[in-house]
Amino acid sequence: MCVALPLAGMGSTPPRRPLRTPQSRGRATRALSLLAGVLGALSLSACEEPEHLHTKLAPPSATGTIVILPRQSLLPTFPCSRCHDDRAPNPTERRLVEFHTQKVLLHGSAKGWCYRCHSQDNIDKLKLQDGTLVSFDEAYELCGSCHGDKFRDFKAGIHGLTTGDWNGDRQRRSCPNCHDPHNPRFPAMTPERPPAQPRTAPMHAADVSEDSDGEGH
Amino acid sequence: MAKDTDTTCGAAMTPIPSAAERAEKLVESRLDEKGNRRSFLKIAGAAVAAAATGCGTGAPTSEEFFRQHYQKLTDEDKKRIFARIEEEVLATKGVRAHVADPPPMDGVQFAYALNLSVCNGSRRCVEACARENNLPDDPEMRYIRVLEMEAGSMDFEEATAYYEHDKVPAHDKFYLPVQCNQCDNPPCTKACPVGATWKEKDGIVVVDYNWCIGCRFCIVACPYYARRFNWSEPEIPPDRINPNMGYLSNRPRHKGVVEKCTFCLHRTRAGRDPACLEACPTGARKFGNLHDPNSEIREIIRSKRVFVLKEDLATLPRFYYFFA
Repeated sequence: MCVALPLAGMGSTPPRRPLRTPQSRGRATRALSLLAGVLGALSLSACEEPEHLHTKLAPPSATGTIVILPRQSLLPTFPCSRCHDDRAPNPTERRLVEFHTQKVLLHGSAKGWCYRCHSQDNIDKLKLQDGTLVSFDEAYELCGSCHGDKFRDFKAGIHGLTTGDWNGDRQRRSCPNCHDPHNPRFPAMTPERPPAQPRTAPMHAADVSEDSDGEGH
Repeated sequence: MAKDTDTTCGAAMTPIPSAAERAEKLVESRLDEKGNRRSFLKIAGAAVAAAATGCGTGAPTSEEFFRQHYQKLTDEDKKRIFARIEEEVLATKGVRAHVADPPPMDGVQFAYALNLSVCNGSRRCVEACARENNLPDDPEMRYIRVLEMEAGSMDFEEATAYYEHDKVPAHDKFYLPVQCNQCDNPPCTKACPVGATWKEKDGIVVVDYNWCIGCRFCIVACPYYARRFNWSEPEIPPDRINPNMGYLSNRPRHKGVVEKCTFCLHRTRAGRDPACLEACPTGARKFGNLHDPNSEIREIIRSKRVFVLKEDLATLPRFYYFFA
């Protein structure tokens, strides 16, 4: 039954298996899926409910898959190891003057150092709190390890930007596509222009008869 | 202003014409106007010939004038009419449009949900909607109004849609976009005296722009201020025309008819998302099928504290708001 899945929402209804969490699979499986180079693309249409339930309810289900857009390929300086392989990791907290000078950590209490999230042993990976390494494409797992409520909504498609067809393939942005992990507040935007103020109606009879449009009333 | 008022009210300069005189003058001026419905009747014979040439005066052609209600159109009628609209768009705008009337999908009930916690008031939805639905800039028509309210309040009396900021979200404000709620118990369709607006099987409330008589009863009946009236002939630059047109949604409209948000039915009935959702930079907008137990919209209604506007009016909106 779908209820047994930790990802299923409430009740017995949600049979979808949106995204896999660290809890829902073993390390080996996760490593395998990483090796397979799955760029976060996971099918959401899979369901483990017995078939007869479907025929009974006959729910018109959306077809298609939800893909979490890859992130790693967008990083301008990836792979990090290209530079970092030549230098030893320095876990001392300090102000960066040589590289990454633009990076200011304004996340939460702003305490912490690069290696809280980036892996010290493999700089091309992110490190979860339990030490598991994930790729930059799976950064949502790292974000979700603290922001559980948002992660839950993200997996259900409630939080986050998903585009595509409501009845077909959909693309979802990973957390860092909208929130810079070093300064996660959603950036302020310039709004589109305000609507035109309503035209005021002519106040007097004389205006009405002169009004060529005659639309004052 | 005060001075003007004095002279007019004092009747020292010009006597105020009586209501009957004014009405007569108005009718006369209207009858003289080119392309008016009445003048069309008057010169119906000539109009048929003129209409055949597809002259783009913006006036309804005789074919349009005598066109049957949408629900009574046969497939052949539709084929002819759609081809005619496409011809007219090509003649007047130079745009090769495609007009269709995608029917409601079986087992689909559309609903919308909007996450007020993340809406940042950028009005991207408003503009995307205008482009998608061929809404004119002059006179400006927009289906969506984004209301700005004080954080921690829900006071619609104090809300404004006219806010101007360099950057949004403004400090201590939150934003609540309003558009057609596609009510399950719509007051607007009941107010229409000629049956020009109705609720479709998938929940979308539509208008037959050629059956509408422009009485605007529906505008008054709508508690959400979601309907718009074409006060003058809508002018859209050719490069702004969206050629993907639905007969019941974004095809060209004339002066004097009412229109409204249709959840972009020409898109959504083809499985796509509405334009406003696609344009939202924050992912606040969610759209889907209520009958699909796996849809995002169902999960939102199941797991969030959703609310609708003016619930006490029992209009049963299909547009849900929530904070998450």
